[in-house]
Amino acid sequence: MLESALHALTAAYGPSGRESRIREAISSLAEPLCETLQTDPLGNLIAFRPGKSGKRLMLAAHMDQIGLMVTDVQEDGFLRVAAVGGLKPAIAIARRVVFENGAPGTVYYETKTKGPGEAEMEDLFIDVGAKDKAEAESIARIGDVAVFYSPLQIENGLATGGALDNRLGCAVLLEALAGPCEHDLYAVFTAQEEVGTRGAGPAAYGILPDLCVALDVTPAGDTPKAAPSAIALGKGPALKVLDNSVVVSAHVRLLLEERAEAAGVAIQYEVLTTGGTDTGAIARTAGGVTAGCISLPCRYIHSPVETVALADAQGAVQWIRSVMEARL
Amino acid sequence: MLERLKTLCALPGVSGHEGPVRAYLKKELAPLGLKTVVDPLGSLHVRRPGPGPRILLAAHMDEVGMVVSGIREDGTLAYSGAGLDARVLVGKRVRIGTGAPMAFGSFGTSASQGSIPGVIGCKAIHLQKEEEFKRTFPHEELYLDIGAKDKKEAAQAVRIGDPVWFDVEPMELGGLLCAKALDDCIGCAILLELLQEDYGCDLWAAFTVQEELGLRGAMATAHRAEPALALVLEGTTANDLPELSPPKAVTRVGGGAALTVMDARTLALPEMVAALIKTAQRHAIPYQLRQGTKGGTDGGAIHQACCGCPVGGVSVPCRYIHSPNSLASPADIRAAYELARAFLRDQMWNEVIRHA
Amino acid sequence: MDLLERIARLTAAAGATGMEDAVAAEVAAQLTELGVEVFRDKAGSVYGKIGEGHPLVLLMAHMDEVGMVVQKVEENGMLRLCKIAGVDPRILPGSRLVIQGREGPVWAVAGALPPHLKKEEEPPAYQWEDILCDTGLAAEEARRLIRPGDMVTLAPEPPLNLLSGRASGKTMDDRAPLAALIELFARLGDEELSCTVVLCASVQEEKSGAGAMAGAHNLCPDMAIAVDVCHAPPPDTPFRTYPLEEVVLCRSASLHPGLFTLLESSAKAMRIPYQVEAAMAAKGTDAWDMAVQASGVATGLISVPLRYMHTGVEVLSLETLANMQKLLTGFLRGLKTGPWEEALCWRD
Repeated sequence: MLESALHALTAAYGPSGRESRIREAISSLAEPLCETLQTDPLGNLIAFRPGKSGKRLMLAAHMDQIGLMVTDVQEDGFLRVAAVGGLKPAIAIARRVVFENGAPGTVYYETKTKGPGEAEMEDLFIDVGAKDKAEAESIARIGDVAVFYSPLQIENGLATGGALDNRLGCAVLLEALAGPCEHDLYAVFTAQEEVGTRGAGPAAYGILPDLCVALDVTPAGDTPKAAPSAIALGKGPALKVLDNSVVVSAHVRLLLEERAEAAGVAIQYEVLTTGGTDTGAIARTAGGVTAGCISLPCRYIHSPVETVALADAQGAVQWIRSVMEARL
Repeated sequence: MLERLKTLCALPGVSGHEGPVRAYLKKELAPLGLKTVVDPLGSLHVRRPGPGPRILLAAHMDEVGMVVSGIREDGTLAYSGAGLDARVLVGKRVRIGTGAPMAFGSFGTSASQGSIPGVIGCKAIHLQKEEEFKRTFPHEELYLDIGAKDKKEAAQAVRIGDPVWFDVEPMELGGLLCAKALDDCIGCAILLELLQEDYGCDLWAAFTVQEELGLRGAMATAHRAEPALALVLEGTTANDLPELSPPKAVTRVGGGAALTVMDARTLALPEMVAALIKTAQRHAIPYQLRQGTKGGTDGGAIHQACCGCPVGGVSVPCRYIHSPNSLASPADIRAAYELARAFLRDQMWNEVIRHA
Repeated sequence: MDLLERIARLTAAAGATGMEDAVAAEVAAQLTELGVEVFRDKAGSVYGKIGEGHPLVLLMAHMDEVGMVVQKVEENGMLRLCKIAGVDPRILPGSRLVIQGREGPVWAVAGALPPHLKKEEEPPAYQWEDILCDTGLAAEEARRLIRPGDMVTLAPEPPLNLLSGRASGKTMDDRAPLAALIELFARLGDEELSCTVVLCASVQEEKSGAGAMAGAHNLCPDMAIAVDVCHAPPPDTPFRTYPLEEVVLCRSASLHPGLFTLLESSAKAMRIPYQVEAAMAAKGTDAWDMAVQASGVATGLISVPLRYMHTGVEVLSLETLANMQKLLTGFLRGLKTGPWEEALCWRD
């Protein structure tokens, strides 16, 4: 179930600000599992199911992905781009991309004076095979966004592809949703996280949950000379202690620890010094919201080859279900 | 509208010291008989209550400027600024606002009353070593000089915290308007004009403060107004200089009203951009898309307030923005006004606001 | 309890940014002892309230300290650290630290690889990768007691009295002003106030301002005043530093000029030595975040000059703390219904 959802979700187009298709894909999977499905003013998808305890539990996973926005269509038919979210130029070069209308493109850079490692976003372009501006504009216009073309591959319990950040979180959330929940449950698939965690705060403002648990990927440090991180693939989902956007309160840490133990899930502890998540935006809205985050270890984040261990995701599903049944 | 714009541009309105601009706006709004409210941060709110969704129109009153932050032994002053590149400050004339801070007497409402002249100087080139020619003067090496011969004399003339603004009178330059503070007196002038009519919605206009410090007035404004949709009226960058590609140019003077697609603080929703384009095309109003992705507007704060709302940005290209002499085209200003007006009159919010 | 003892109790608690429970408990205990109404909010800040009616004045000093967490436990049991906010790794080597582990606090020493000294070169500055935290425990025991994410703070040595009425210790930023405000509450509690005063010991000032945002948002005060520290001069920094003996009032585009005027009037009336600091955008304190909450809050900022900020030996003047209390006392007593509303009105 998780795997098939993952295939469907990673295939759906949805960079920040243009989430309609991923929203549709998630809606069709969420519909049988909830009472109402709503889209709010910024495009967040909110799936609601009432519970018995009188408390409100919000679970949040962002559905948007990073991309490249067209900023200019040149006379020679090439497209200039700007990053939507944290997409590094060096990672984008020599990649295949695809637009919302399905048109493919190739990303390369101006080879005259620099090597690929020194290229900046303004040196990049997308080649859609057009011979002039008119032909290019029939394919893509200013404001259109291309995403990595990188179909999901699963091998040996590892999944690799583009958009695992954070379609994996969405798939885990959908899977957890199938289980029972004591509380009024709001499963929120947030918009515009990659450009600054913009959808999450407004979504939480409208819900005012008693507890919110976000779900996102976190960088693993288990590859050669990786940026320091104690997180490794296959060692279980992680309890977020802190990241750039938030320090999770002791009370939430304890609750999540206890729930992991109750579910028999082995967990890791995440301390992230580079990067923020929806958790911070949610924690600071509406005069303060109690919030924490369950993180999914992921290698090569913000590249077309993001890699995760499905066992960690399964563990996260059990963990969240345990939270859904907890006393708040 | 252009005459009002010139008057606005001549007024001092440094972030946090928007009083003169606010006073002028209140005066111009008086004949309309609309209720005005000033919030705790100083933003000016004007409403045309009505049926239909709450539509917020925002323009900011503040211009980039400085405050006096210290007095040196030799009588020159140190300053603290926001949004100002040290490279455009060299060799400029300024005025420094003096007099008691507000509430127990405000300082003057016109540029010349309650202010003294000053200049911003740097080490003469004759005194520089050749290696120094390549350096930019950082703010610490620029001297705000009011002519005081020592610290004591300076301290009698100015106070720590007094506002400092460029001393520039608006003028017409080859058919373009040349002035300080086009960002965002243009937005204020357009908003004043838009307020003359009713559009069949619950209209909320906000002349915000402290945009240049990080969209601060807008944060409080959006929370107060809780709009269903907002339009932000701004002056935006135009670097349409030789050899600069369109994304680096961002917008072109003479290219019409500029629509926000994505900047550093806002990602415009496709349906909003589409609605604005449709409006422009329907009424044959010249428009362009903003092709750069840096910079931010009040929209960045407004769209994330409370439960969020879609925000559109309608801007006028300004060359040399955030400098004492910025240029914009009256035709572009007219286009921006007409686009915003047509959007409202055609009630285009219906094509943007999601219906639950 | 004298002021230095109150400060000592607060600074002894380990309460790094986002992990303030221990210091929150101490603040709550001190306020409860004074018979003040105490409450908390979802962000974790602690509040005490006295008086009634308008204006509602929010006084805020942050209780979080600059701190770290364990990032990794090495094979040999030594720890790698990273900062939560505000810690300069260069001050650590040779210092004592405390880790909040599974079974309580564990003391440790911060060390680093000795630099390769070449006679002509300057030793390179320490970065986070160079720092190791040594508990002296065997590897297995270290791993049992400590894990990534555990809080690490500077060891709680009690503050020192220096000459000239100055004191030195850890976390004077911002618990010394906080202690002074709690003491102020003790005195004000016996008075007839014609306003409501809420003291907030805020969380997370050093990182996200979450406490300031929640406090101003939830209380919607008529005025908010942040009390924090600013820099006293080390040699060679001509501006942005202030003498230890003077209370500093901030005049800034991001603060309410009417509130500044009221505070300045009080300073003059109480004959307190003060200085004005000006900045276009007064970032770096709770005042920045409070002002833009809800529909906008009239905000002011009072600072106490401090040397060696964010080290274990921060120095400030106890007399300046007392003057700050006097200034606020005069200000609060002086608030009567008519003039304060007018003072906050934007008259152009």
